[in-house]
Amino acid sequence: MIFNTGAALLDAIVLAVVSKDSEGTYGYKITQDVREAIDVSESTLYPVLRRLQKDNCLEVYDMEYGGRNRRYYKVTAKGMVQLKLYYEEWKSYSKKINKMFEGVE
Amino acid sequence: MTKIEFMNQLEELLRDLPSEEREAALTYYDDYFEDAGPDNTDAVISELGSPERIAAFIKSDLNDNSFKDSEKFIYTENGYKDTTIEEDRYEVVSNDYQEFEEEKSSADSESKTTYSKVTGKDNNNTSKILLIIIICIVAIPLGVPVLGTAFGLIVGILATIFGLFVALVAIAGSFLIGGLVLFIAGVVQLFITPINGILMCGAGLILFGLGTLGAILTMLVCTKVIPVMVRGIVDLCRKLFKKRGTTQ
Repeated sequence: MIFNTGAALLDAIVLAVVSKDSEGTYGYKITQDVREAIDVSESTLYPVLRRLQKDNCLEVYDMEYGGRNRRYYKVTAKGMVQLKLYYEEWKSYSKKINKMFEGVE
Repeated sequence: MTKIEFMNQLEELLRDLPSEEREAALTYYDDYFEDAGPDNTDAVISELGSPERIAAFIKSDLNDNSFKDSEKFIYTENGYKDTTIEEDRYEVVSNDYQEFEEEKSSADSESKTTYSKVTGKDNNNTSKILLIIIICIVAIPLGVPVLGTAFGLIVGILATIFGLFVALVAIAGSFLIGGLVLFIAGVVQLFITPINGILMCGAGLILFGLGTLGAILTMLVCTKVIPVMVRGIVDLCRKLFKKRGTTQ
């Protein structure tokens, strides 16, 4: 991938990925899903998740799985609002960029 | 390296963080290894890089703590502006990694380079602003009298021009009126002393003619020169204010 993903877009993608699971999802899975869209290193995602958590866009809870505790991330109400905002911005942004590329073959 | 070794080193590197942060990070990566499965431990480690790398990422992100939501994104008329991208501070993807892989020196110097990369740009801006302030302060003792003189000159010139204009109007007006009066008086005289009468009529007509010329000139000035002057002043003001706007 040649286009750099800025902090905002990364936040948006992570929120979108986590929001797909109504009960929330865990770090490893989030990373795998995000990497389906963008080629980002695994070590990038923890700071993002941590920041979203501190901004109250994500909440965490622990649940037992296979005899150990697993930490789950879930989108909060504020996170959903933020995600919608991001989505609107993305639609407007990508529309403008697509317009630029019109006619290029 | 085994998972235990990795996690131990990571814990050591995060020692200077508040315990809550450290615990959260360690839990996350511990979970991560577990979810990847024991077979994938090597793959995960090679993808994560080194404990130093992870630690540096965590720390540099925490130092960007001053970025509250309200400062991160400014809502401009063109939509949300991501200040982190603009300032080139938070390039999360490929670039940081390249720099990291290339120099495998000690963890401390790595973290330091990340820090200086993050704070470098700030220093430039503050010292520039400081310089401008100092120049302004020094310039005041000299600047005030100079500005005063310039202002006085401008006002004087404008007043002169205005005075001339008023004089023109006055002359035109008086010629018109005077000429007319003289002409009428001349007509009256025609019946008394014809020669005088003709002289007065002629002079009156001349004056009237000159007065008309003056009036036309006045009107020309009104319709052409003044709009140009006004536009010129407005442009000047706009330029001054625009300049002020950008330095602020």
